[in-house]
Amino acid sequence: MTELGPVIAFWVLAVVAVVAAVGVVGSRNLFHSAIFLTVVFLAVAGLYLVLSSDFLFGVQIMVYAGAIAVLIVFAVMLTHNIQAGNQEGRQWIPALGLALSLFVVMAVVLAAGAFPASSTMAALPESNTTLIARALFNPYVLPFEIASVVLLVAMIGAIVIAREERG
Amino acid sequence: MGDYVYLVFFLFFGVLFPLGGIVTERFLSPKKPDPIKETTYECGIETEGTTWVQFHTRYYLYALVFLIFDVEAIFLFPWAVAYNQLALFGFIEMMIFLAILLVGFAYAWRKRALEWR
Amino acid sequence: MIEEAIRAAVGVFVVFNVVALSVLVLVLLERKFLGRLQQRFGPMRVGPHGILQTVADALKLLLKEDFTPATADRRLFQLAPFLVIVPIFLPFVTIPFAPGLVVRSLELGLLYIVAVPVVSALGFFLAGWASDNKYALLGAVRYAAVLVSYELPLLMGAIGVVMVTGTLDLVAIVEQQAAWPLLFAQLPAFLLFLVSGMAEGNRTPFDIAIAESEIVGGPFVEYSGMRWSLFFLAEYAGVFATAALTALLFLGGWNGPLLPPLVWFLVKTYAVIIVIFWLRGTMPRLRIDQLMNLAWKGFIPIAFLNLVVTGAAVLIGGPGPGSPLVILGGLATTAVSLAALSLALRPRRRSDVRIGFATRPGDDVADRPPAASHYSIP
Repeated sequence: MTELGPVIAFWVLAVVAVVAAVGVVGSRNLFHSAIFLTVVFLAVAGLYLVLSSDFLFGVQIMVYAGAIAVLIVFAVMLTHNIQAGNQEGRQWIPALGLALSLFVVMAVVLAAGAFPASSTMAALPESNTTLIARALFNPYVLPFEIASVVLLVAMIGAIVIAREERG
Repeated sequence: MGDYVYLVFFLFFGVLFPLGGIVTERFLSPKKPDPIKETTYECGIETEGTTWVQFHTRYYLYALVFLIFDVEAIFLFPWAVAYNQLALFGFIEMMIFLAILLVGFAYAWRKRALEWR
Repeated sequence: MIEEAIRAAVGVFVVFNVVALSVLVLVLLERKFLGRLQQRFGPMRVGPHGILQTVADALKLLLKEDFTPATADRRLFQLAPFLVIVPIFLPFVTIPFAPGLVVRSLELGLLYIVAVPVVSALGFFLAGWASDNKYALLGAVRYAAVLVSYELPLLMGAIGVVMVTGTLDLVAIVEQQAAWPLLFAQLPAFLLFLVSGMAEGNRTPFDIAIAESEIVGGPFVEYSGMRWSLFFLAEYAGVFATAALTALLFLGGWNGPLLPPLVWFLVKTYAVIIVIFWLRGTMPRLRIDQLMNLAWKGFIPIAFLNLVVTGAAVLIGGPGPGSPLVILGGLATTAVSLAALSLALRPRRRSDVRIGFATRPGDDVADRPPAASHYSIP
């Protein structure tokens, strides 16, 4: 990974992601926050490409920039008084503390940890997607099936909560 | 990795071409702003109240169910690509996966979450 | 690296021109064809038989004032057209026109092509939201609802194709169809893919999001000049992409006797385009509840059925577009699905000729008294 291209791409995408993330929390307008969040999703999708994880790129675009973005936009449309926007509050103080401590934890882990994967990922012998399929259907069968149960629970929970009583 | 040089180019020019059109237009087209012209829905009857009203929860429900099935569809893609190598075991596994999700679909149908009202 | 950059630059240039030219041709073709369906001539004035009409229209649009409504969310309003057109343009990187005539085969192939255009939904939503216009916002919300419903049948149709061919690479998918097009083996998927593609591309009869006769054009009511024409460009580029993909995935792409591959590809693509225009000319627009029910209670169950049947058939009878068992399965699924759909869509009473799923009385939007709530009507 000594080529210049990926390095530039990484920094551009990282800066975009961080700036948009600040936009999400900083914007007064809920809808603007939702749009910034989508920009973060897209930038992260780009980062997956830089890391040669094609399949994850597809997942990120389809699930996050597609489904989750629409879901969040609908959620914004559900709020009572959209124009009032984000209200002033005192919650930013604990939130800031939490974010800072999370940052410290991650910084420590990143500084201390070794990442042997980065030296071996030079060339993948096969397509990403096939490898993922083989992993999903051989060693990780059980987690995969449990994932479907989790999805089922999520769907039923969502319907119970969101359904209107008079229905 | 080389693949993505192409994506960058397409992204860049995909933005540049429309931008070029808009810049060209700026030189060619008239620019006569006027308060009446800039009202919302200039040539129609003005609408009552604010535009940004609260919408119905049904939209949200559809989006939620869609999200679950979108994740499921994503799992189907690698399965479909490797289907010939996975043979009977892969088929049974995916059928279990689909059956569990279909329970959810049946539940949504039964609870009339898929009803447009 | 340099070589790739040159190839990419040439590719972008060629693809952009092909798309722009196709849009010009498609707009004229649609107007002429719809005219014929309605026993008119269509445009006749500009050039011989009106063939220069769209060129004149494009020039006219370039000379129009591009203004932003005073109360609009200015920056989002101006950004939205880009968010609509760029995701429609991106899939052309990897759509092959003939053997060797593809900018770049991506590993992700089909998944990339079906994933990326979804982002343009957000552009539509942005446009509708930022316009500060009720029609625009209603159109935007409807569009998102339609997308959410028709994306699944589209994806599952594509998955059916991948199951039979075992690859995401479009060139490989077409090469497998040398003897038998996938149309037979994946007939249900073909129908789901084409109709869902039309719904997502906002084509009549599925264009509830832009319905001119009620919400006057939906998300882009407030747009003018060049920015408006970007939406227009995106719509027709989308039609072209949908038709090209249908031709590649189901109709055997460039395979065919005598004529050169590129010609076969274009013939098949334009045949699909004509079908899309034809449907526009002959079908009345679906109401939103019909549109949503069709997707959730019709197409998604059919898509599931298709996956299960295809899976079993490939397992027993082997993969490939020509596998007899797979073809049999596809035809059987189609027959069962169509029978079930026509049963579900039958009119409930003799006096009731509306299209709608038979439900309990009172479920239908039209049966209920107007709601006295603060919710706006969809």
